[in-house]
Amino acid sequence: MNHILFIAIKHLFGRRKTIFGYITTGIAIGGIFIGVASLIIVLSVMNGFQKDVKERIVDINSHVVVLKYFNEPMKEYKDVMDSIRSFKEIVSMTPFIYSKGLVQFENYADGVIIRGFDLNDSSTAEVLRRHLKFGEVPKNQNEVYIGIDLAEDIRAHTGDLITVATPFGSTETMGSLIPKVSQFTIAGIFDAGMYQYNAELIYIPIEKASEILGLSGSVTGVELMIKDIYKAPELAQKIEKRLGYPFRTNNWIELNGSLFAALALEKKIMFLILLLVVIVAEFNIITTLIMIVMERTTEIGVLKTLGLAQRDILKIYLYQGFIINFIGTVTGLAAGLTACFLLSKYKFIDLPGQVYLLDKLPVDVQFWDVIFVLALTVVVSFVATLYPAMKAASMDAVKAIRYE
Amino acid sequence: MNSIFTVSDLNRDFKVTDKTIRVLNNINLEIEEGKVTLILGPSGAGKSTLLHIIGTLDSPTSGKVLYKGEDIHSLNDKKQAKWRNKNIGFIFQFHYLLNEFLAYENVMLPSLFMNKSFKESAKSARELLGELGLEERTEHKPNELSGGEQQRVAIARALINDPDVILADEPTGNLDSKNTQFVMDFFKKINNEKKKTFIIITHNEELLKYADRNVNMKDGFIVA
Ligand SMILES: Nc1ncnc2c1ncn2[C@@H]1O[C@H](COP(=O)(O)OP(=O)(O)O)[C@@H](O)[C@H]1O
Ligand SMILES: [Mg+2]
Repeated sequence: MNHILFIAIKHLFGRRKTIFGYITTGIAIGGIFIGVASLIIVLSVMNGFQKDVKERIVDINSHVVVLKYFNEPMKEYKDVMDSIRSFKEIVSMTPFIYSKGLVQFENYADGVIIRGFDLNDSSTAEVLRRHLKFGEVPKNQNEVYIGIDLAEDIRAHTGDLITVATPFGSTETMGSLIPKVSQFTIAGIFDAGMYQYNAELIYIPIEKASEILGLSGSVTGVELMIKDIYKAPELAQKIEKRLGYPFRTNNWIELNGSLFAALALEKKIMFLILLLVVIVAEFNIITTLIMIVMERTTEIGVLKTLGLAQRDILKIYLYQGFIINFIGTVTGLAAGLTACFLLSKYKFIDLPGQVYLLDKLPVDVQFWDVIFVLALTVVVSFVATLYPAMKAASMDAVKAIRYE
Repeated sequence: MNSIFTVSDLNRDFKVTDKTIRVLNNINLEIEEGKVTLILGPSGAGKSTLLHIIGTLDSPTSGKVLYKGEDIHSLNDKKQAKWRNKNIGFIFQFHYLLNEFLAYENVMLPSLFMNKSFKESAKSARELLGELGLEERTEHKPNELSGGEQQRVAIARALINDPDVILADEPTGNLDSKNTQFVMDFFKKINNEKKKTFIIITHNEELLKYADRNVNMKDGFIVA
């Protein structure tokens, strides 16, 4: 062991003049502990949140959609599919319908988003099956698939007969809008893990959806699942180029851009707030070190007479600051990571889904976040330690050993 | 005569509130190598200040101190620290031992500062404590020792690096006559055996018998 470190440890943990000295050291360590632990937990939860939301979005939604300008109905969807089939990135594609409507069951009614889907498309079937909660996935044109929160809202169960009303469904009366009303049996109820979807979506087989929406065989567009979801914007552009007017595309990243931007901003703000916790903790460390320096005036002077230079004294106090920070940071890191581990393993914190999109608190510890937190703590703590250490170094040896 | 220290035209001023007081006044002094020099004089004469300046703990307002021909106050802090560590052993009226350190740990500090290993430093610390009759006390904390024992530990600490010069500011000021005699006899012994230079400040006229030379100070002047 280095002799400077030897003295630093003795000074830090050695006999103090008052019990108050130990308390301040404890508070200083505790402050860093709390700062580092909460930074790691909060950042990881924000990451987890972002990741989970993303996963759920791409899980139930397609990655790229091909539409027509002004959302004109697409009759030629088969041609569209044929002309883009050669893109290797595409895993599957299927025509879809997207529209709005109203469902009613007994005395309850709710506005919904109607999704027309191809009963014969295997990848759609796979997604629907994955989220199945009650009943089964629709098998014929008279069956629908609804979200669990929607089912609850209208008090409907599987097997119930519900009414779906759609605008523009009827062309019988010129001038006035008469909604078209059709009846479906609820084949199954799904839980997509996201409140918005669970409360709004109703899946209707595409032929029937086209009919009740007055599209007479047309669809809204074609949706694609692709290999690398992060290449969606790129592929979308290529498709647009190939198809040309009047076709256009959209992709999941663009569609949810504002949500992701908000999440990223939230993470930054939380980071800054928690950084303040660390900075406040460093003020405790400054106070503690200054107290130690004051208590050790004589010792510092004596060490100088024995042959320590100012920079050696400086180092003694930098080490002490480092030790306090090290203990606080390492225990904070351990506690933060443990909390993250427990959170992800036992998922014991429930969220109100209506408010937070997700109903469980997700965690995703990211290596670089942890490194960043640690690096920042090291920098801030070094700056905080510098002042007391310089104060100690510049202490006058003669003043310390003077007596009259 | 072979001077180890040459003090020339030394002045030291202190600022007290708004006026300046001259604590050392045109001091010129040669300290002979291998001799015991006693500095005597009433309290407030400037003895301690002179000793601090000779030991580079304090700096002169003007004038020079040469150690073997070298102007020690022109060295930077790091070099001065190294110089003190190697050449000077300080002993004060109070032992100034570090409370958290055991007796031998206190003694070995200057040796560690010289970058000697823990093992080697601890070994010579224990030996030196043995020479001072403290072999039973090496693992004790300073507050478990008597006043005389504490001062002997402090003496061991001053000597561990085998310095050429011992600067002692009233080293026996807190000791009874028995301990005083022990300390002074020990000083005289190593002065004889190892030809070490001693500068000792004292009030005690009885110590004059140990001195090769004495310097009297009053009001910042050397008077005889
Ligand atoms: N840092 C200081 N500031 C102001 N006055 C000082 C300071 N150090 C010493 N003095 C004054 O210098 C004079 C000499 O002090 P000192 O060298 O300790 O005398 P001695 O050791 O002979 O008793 C005293 O009057 C003391 O008050
Ligand atoms: Mg004095």
